[in-house]
Amino acid sequence: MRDRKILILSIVVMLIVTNIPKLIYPTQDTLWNVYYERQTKETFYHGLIPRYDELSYLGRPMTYLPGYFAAKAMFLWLVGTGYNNFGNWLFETFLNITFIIGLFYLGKKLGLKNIALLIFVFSVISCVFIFTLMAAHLLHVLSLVLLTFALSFSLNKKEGREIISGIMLGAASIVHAFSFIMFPVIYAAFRLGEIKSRKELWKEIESGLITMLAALLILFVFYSPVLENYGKPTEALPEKWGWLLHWDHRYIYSEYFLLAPILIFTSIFGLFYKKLRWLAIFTLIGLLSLFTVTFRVNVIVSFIGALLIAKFFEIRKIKFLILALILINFAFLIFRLGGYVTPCIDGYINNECRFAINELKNMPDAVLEEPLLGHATTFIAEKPVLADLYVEYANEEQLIDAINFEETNNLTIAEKWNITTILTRYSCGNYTQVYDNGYYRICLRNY
Amino acid sequence: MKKLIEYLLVVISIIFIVVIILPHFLNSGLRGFYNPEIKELKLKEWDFLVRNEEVCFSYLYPLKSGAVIFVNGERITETKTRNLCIDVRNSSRIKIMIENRSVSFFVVRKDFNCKKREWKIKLQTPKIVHQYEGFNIEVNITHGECKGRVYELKIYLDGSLLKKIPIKLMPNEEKVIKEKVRINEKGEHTIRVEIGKVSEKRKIVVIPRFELKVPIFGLPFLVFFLFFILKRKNGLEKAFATILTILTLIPLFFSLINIKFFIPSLIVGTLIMVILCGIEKFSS
Repeated sequence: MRDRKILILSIVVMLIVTNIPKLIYPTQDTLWNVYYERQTKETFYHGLIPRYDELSYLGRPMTYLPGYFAAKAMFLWLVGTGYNNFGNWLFETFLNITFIIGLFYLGKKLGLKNIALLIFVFSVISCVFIFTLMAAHLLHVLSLVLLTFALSFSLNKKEGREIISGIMLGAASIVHAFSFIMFPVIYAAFRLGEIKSRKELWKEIESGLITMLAALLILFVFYSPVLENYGKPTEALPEKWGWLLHWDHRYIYSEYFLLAPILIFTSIFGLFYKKLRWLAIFTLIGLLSLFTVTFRVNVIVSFIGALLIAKFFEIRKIKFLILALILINFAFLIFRLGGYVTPCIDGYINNECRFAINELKNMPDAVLEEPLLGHATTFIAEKPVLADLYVEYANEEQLIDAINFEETNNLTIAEKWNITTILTRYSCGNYTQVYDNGYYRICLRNY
Repeated sequence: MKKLIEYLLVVISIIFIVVIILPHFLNSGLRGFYNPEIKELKLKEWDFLVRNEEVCFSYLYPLKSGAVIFVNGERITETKTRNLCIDVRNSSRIKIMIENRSVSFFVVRKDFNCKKREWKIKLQTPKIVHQYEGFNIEVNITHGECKGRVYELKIYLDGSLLKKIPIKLMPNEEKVIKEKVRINEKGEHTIRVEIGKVSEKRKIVVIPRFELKVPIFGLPFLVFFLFFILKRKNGLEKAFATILTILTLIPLFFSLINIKFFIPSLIVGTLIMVILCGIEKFSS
């Protein structure tokens, strides 16, 4: 009964905090999410994953991992809402509630109770990145939910858990492949402190390998047409959009805010406790990697760090204060969603940008613009763009030219690609300027 | 005290969720409290090639502010008229400026032979399409004027403006325009195109996709969900995990073999859940 109350409380608090931003931005229309939503819309209306994308990079094969598009399209069809704001909100609520349930049961499997369980759940979702996923980038939440269940089922002692866990991990990976990499790291961090003998260690490694093999098989089966037709994934300009991007040490504070000092404190002092040592080591390495190797370990650090904090404080009276700090941190995340003031930077497609992109519907053929607006243009105006933010399997020359245009306003790039319509923040030069909203201008070439 | 807090929490969350849900459910959507006014200046139609006539153009701006007209950088007039003609002696760049926004175009003035002819328009569309299926409409235009002008080709769906595309027409030019259109609502519709002095319309039938407003297809999943959560250990986790995995993988399988996945996934998903319920019942 108490567990149920903790779960309901967690869900209610999460729903309130993730829905408050909707008073300002009612949808999940961010510069990145609209790409996923466009593919989902196509999938929903045609009942098949699209094979070709006519709009991205002036037209190219559809190579994105298809799991989210299928899951959401199927969900919307089952609940009968159609593809609209309400259906989107319903799916978001369903996934976020499922995420809390997944974290709750994972915490219980890890031996946490009551306040410690709440600390774990809210520490995970207090990471700015994870919160922005829950509020504005649902594809990753689906992957995280399935990953959470995979971890949870892996901790079972029942026969056949590896296969069940592997199927869930496979499903998570076909939504977002990074889950496949996160699983062994997080699982190792969770289990190493509990293993008492070498025999037990080898058994865990064996189970983990079976899980990952099952997941790899699923990933391979569903992604094989893409691999067969277009080879292994390539990335345009990996130094700009790739996986090994990082900033300086201040990133820890901007990512975790009030949680940052708690994470640093527990990861250093956790080294002195035998049961917490492995968790502390993984958290420390993760925190250091954030600003030296790649910021993309932030989700891994959130999961492992959350368990470390929960276990460190579970027997201490100060745990209520820690929980209060974490809840304040979580509530404060509302202000971190960005895009409120700066037009079309930091996330949401706000009015200055949306109005200009909307006008592109009334313009001829393809559009030359900065790549950051590519997904928004294909989603709102349904126009082909020279380049956008989906850089895997992308034409690097097109991306370089689009970035060149963004940095120098070199309008002659439109001539190179035979594009008529240009969206710019600057001047149209000698081209006809047909639109100006004070922030963006639309130019037409050969008009 | 604890109960009071619990009740308060429930009431607050219900009120809050209803405030967010209802506008979405009615599809009106919350406009958001941060809603800055965006003033847009748009150039609608303009002459780009004239003989001895005036240069005519039209623009759009939400307020009735005076626009300043520049010709080759020289300020020539201020006007509140949005549809006007001005005299230019040579080829010129015309700029219209209102409240720090501007639009501009270039007009060539030269002598050429031309005889006015009759405007003509012919519209071709498919007769039947599916919901949300993009299709091309073809518009054959004969320009009747003896000047080069950019017109707005307006495309209407059942009387509502769908889009307007700038079309550049040389003097007396015959041009074929192809434009992609997508209709989401099923049933019979009328597409009308309008440019300059002519318009034409065509009827088109949109075949519905298989879709029900009442979510009865979600029922097997709901039954499975209830079966698992009622008095079963970790039933909630098992139910959600299974449903999500089925939702992700089964449609993908059918899409992989090029079969539209809704009905087959429902059948296979339901079968899997029945089997799982059977195993659960048998093992307990």
